[in-house]
Amino acid sequence: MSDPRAGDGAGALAAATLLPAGPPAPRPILWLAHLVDWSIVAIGATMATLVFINVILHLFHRDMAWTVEFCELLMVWVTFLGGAAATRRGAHMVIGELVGRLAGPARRYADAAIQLVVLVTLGLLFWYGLGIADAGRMSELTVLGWPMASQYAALPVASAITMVFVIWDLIEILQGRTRAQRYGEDHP
Amino acid sequence: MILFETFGLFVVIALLGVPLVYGLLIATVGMIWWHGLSHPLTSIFLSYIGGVEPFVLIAVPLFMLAGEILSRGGVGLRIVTFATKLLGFLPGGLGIATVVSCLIFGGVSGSAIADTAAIGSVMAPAMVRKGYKRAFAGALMSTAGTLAVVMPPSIPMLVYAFVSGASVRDLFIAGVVPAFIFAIGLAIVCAWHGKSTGCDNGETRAPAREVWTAFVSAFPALLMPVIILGGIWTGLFLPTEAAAVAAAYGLFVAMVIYKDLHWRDLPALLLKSFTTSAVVMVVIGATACLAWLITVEQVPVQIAGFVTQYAHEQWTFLLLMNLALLVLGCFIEPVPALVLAAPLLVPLAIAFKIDPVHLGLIMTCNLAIGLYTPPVGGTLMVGARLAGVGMMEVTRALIPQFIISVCILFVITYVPAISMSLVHALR
Repeated sequence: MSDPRAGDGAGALAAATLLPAGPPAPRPILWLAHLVDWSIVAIGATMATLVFINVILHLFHRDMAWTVEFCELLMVWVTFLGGAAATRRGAHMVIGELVGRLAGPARRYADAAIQLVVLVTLGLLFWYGLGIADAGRMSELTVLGWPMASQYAALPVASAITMVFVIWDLIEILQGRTRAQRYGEDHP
Repeated sequence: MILFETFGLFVVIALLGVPLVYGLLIATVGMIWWHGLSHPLTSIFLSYIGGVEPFVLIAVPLFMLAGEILSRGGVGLRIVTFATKLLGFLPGGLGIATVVSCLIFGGVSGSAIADTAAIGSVMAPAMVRKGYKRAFAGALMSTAGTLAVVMPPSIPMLVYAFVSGASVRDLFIAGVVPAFIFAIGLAIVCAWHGKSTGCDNGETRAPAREVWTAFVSAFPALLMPVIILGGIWTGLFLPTEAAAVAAAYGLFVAMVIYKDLHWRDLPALLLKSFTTSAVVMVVIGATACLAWLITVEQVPVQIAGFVTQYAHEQWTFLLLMNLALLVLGCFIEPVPALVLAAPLLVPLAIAFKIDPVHLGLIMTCNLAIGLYTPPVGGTLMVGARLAGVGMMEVTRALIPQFIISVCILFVITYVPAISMSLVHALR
């Protein structure tokens, strides 16, 4: 049977060499992760550029009013996608001192329980996020005139992606991989 | 009271190792279910989205990007070289140079962890080679790195400004003098340590030409806080725009002047800064859910009644607030602690005739101390790792720095003129 982690390595996507590889995973999850990472890069670069161009325009007493609303929309997307990328790298803010004292199977059970709790919470975010996005189809962003759903959809989309990463992590936990093996030596 | 129950539930969940963002969401939703409240969860999660949306918060990832760009190359090393040439002749000179480097780099990065890591990676080994104990070197890295939180641009100050409605410009200006006072306090500890242990009685004074050369090399980086503060102060740009200018300037310095950075490095820098920012932003969003609940349940009114039972005077309120925040800071990082506490404290502070800008500065300085107090201290962990010693050893070694920092905190608290004079002069 082929190794589900066959997608390891820098060659999964040629362009991925420009970004840190992140934890190993099967090829479909790596593709999803690369998509998330590159979306963050693209959105971040767009936001920084737009805000800077507006500063330059101010010097000539001109302004692109739509950039404020557009950047707010992008901010919501980049934040929730960034949250998904942070989940994949085990980078969220955590008080890990108590769990860090556990070792062996006890640590594995604790990690699994934590990820289950996270999964349930993400399920709630996904479900209610869908409802919010659906309701947002009826109203429009003030300046851009786009449906509010284009902004609100970030929550269910990013929650669904995060759930994929959490489920994969849960599988790895159940396979007996330690946190350091899953995320690297910086995550004891 | 629902606030204490929610906070208690959140602390328990967080201590069990659940990421703070999910801990906050679970505690909020859990309380609604537990008390059978009729609040629709859609409203709660809508405030989660709304919490991360405001334009002013775009400054957070952009300042992080600017810091990342400048931290990536040799900016830290250039600043360290300049500070060492300038101050290395003093007793405890290497320690003092570390403090000054952290102060300067704090004006570039805005992040305590980045400050500790960038300066500490150069200075911790140098201090150990000089004869400083590893624990002292780790302690100094842990404490001096937090100067970045007080010295503008400061991410916690930006977040406080968003939560409280205070002016970012005023907060940044208010942070300048206290940052220097904290640095002087830490420098005194270094001089005393260097002299009393005999590990660093000072080098011979560097020739003026060498100091000048080091200054010229570090000058483009030193200009960063001047551009940010100057731009905001003169009204040339808003704080969010200042962050974009800082990122563009950082790019120019790192790629054109220092040539430390290549275009190929940019995607990784963007990913790192926007992911790190997302970690902070989702906590802010989750706290917005909690804030929605406590506002609807009229908790601030109940808190005000509770506090005024015990704090009749301004000084007792400030004392209780500082003690509570010092305890809170032991467990929670400055940004989530600010987002949690500021909405409750700002109305009370206004009732006690405390300027919200002064309050924000006190809270920031206080919670910066929490970064190096166990069990949860971001710079404490980084400082210990860089010095190659355990966290408990570092904790014992940083007691003098802790005492002096708390003393300075109380001076800043009870003498508003220290921080506010510059604000009033420039308003």
